[in-house]
Amino acid sequence: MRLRAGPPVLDTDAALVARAREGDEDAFELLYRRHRRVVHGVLLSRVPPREVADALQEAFTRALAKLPSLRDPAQFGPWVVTIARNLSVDLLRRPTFEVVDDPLGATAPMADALAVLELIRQLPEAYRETLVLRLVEGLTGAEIAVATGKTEGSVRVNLHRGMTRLRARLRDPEMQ
Amino acid sequence: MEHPEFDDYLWRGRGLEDPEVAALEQRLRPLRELGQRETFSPTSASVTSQRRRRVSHWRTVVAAVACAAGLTLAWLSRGRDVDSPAAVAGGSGQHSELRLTASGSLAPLAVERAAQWGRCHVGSGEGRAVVTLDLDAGGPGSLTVEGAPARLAVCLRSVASALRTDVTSGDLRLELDFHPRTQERR
Repeated sequence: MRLRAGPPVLDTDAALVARAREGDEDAFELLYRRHRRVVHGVLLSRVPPREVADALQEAFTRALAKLPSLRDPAQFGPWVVTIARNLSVDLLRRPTFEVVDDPLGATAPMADALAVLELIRQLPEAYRETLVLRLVEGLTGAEIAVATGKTEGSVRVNLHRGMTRLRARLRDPEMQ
Repeated sequence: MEHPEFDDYLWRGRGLEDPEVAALEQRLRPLRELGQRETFSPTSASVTSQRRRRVSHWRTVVAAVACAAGLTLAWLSRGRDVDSPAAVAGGSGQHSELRLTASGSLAPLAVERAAQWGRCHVGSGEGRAVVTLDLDAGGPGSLTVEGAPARLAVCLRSVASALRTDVTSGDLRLELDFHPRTQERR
């Protein structure tokens, strides 16, 4: 008789938060891997692209430090998204610095991607985050709603209106 | 649904493909991995910065020391009731002290930033850490930060970030001395 392994049992966020609070580094690492794409998208829609790498780590560093204060461990996802949003506000308040050697945009595809991102970043805030999560990170509308704590209806509207505005900008030669 | 003409592909990412949306996804694809790291590694942030900023040696040292100390403090705090009502109210509770001693031409600025960012993140609004400043003008300075280790970790991380963004030259040495202890709050 051949035994077949069943599907792996995935820990819930609440279980991982509980383990992380007990000092389990692997548990926090899993939380990072599970939510980093969403946090990355949130930051990409708000802070300069060259800041995203540092900001992503800083957002989770803050989450780790504040983990004891998280009231509902099951809401780790929307909670860390809120931390990322607040962090982006802090980062934009800090003094700017001189960029000596900017490796971003060194290749044509990356330069083109950054140009489109810039158009998205000029849209109203409500549309920016949703469009980046959908078009860059590849999340579905339903996944965006769960990850950000918004209603599906709100995400639908933001996606539709944001896309309409983005299409208009892409077709406007003065915006290119 | 507010928009009956809503494009199903835009919502679900599959099904009948909207060519314009699909083309945008393709163009934006390079950004997906921009700044992504497979693992949680906050100390690597300072290393990344070196590639694009005029980072002098001292700033690398500052960032590395502060990040490492911050991470250590964060993990030292694991499992502790750092938000206990007693600690918030100023009564008996888990209490730690971090002494940061700075020397060199940039010592005053470092201490100023440490106090500034420390207050920003762990100040009276959260009421769980106290920053005191003892600085002789132009000379070595010292900073004592008291509070829950997790708060100190945030403070140090912020100091490192602030220092490396607004100073381009100078020298600085930092010494960190951490004392986890339980005592009556002052």
